This record gives sequence, C-alpha cells and structure tokens, in this order.
Amino acid sequence: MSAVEDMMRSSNPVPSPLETLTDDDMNALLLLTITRSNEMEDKGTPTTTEDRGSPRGWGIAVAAFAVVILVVGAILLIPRGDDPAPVDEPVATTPRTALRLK
Amino acid sequence: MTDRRTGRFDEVYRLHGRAVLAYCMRRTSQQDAMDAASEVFVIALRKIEAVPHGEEALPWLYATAKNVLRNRERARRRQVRLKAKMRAEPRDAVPGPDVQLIMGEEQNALLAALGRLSPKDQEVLRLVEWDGLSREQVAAMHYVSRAAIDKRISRAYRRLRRELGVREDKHTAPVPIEDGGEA
Repeated sequence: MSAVEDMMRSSNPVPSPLETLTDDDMNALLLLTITRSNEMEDKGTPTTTEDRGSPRGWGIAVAAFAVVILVVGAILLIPRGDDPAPVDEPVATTPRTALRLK
Repeated sequence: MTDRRTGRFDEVYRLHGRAVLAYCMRRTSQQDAMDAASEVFVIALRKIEAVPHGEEALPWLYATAKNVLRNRERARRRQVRLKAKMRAEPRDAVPGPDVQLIMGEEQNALLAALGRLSPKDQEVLRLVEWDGLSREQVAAMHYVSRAAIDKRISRAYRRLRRELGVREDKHTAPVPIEDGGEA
C-alpha cells in the first residue's frame, strides 16, 4: 500500500460513522425525512431537487421539442407553390375531319 | 403508505442511514449534510420499490446522494452569483467539510490537493477510500467495468501525487520533488 493511499485514508473526515454519528443524530435525520415527506404529500408539490428535475418532466420537454422540429422540418421540405407550374405545349394533332378526307 | 413499504424503508434506513449521512458529511458542511441526507431518504421513501435489495442498496443511495449534492451545489452557486450581482461582492469560498478544520497539516494538504482534481477523480477516490465501497460496487454505480474503475483509480492517484508534489515509492513515505524526486 502506498503512502499517498495511506494519507488518503487517514484524511477521511468521517472515518467511522458508527462512532461519529449518534442515535440522536439518526433520530433527528429520520424526523426531518418524515416531516419533509409528509409536507410533500400534503402540498402535493415536489420538495426535493431530484423531483423538481424529474425524468418525466424532461421526457415531456424533449418530446415537445421533437414535435416542433418535425413540424418545422416538414414545413421547410414541402415544395412551395410560388413558381408557376410548367405549361405544356399543346400537342399538334391532325383534325379528324382531315383524316376522313384522306 | 403500506406497512410493507414502511417496513422496507425502515430496513434501508437502519442499515444504511449512517453511511449516507457520513457520505454527505464528507462532501459538505454538517448542517447541509443533514439536509441533503434527509432529501436522499425522502427520495428513497417515495421510490422504495426502486431501491435494490442487499448490498446493491448502498451504491444506489450514494448515487442518489451524489445527485442531490450536485443539485444543491448548483442552486448554491446560482444563489451566490445572484447575491454577487446584487451586492457587487466577490463570490464566497466553497465551504469544505466542517471536520476539515480540526485536521492536521498533512491531511489539509491532501484535502486541498484532492480538491484540485476533477470531480470524477475526487469521487472515485472518496468512494473507495472513504465511503467503503468495493471497486466492483463503484464500477456498478458508474455503469463501467471493474477494469475501467481500476484504471480510473490509478489515474486519479497519479494526479493526486502530482498535485501533492511527491514522488511515490511503494512502502515508503512521499518524497518531495524538490528533494530529488521525479515528477
């Protein structure tokens, strides 16, 4: 084991959570968790940062963006009607009456 | 909430509560750590079905804690920027763990050097050396192979040595570069 690895280990700010964190700390944390969870259920609003940026919200945003891109793309790709349609030259035909005369 | 879900949450909290709070304390101040850890367990409570069983639960909780701390840090930075803009004051220094204050000079030097590494390097070293995860668990947590984690740890240590300015010989104390050590 190298000396820097030893230093790294000995620099652990909380080397032994079992000794450092008392039952009172853990009870306080549990109380805080339950209080926040209940508040969230009562209000029906997200109180955690993760909930605020939930994957579902991102999914909806991405889907909306994709729809906009598709619509814009379709509009741009549709041929415009500004140019007049090419006018076909009338086909020279022989009148039927002329054929009969022959 | 059903009894089964409550029972499952109690089990997760009993087994991993201290580890998660310690994880947060190693990365932020004690008061923030308590708040962040409670946020982690609120998420765990709401998504208790998603929390893996057995040994896999701890990496899941650590990954959640990592995201929570990152989001809080972003929010804090935004707030600091806003305050600085409003008061035209310089930005606050990033607060380190409270316990850092009572550490020795060597540890403070190491923590300072650690702080200069990239967030990824810092995280992988902390997870293995401080948070007690095995290398396999760290690999699973980051969705990479064990070999990739070994490489990342090795690289992070190399950078840490460079930051500390020491030549690293196995089984010996660090030697400052100025005293003839190699970079």
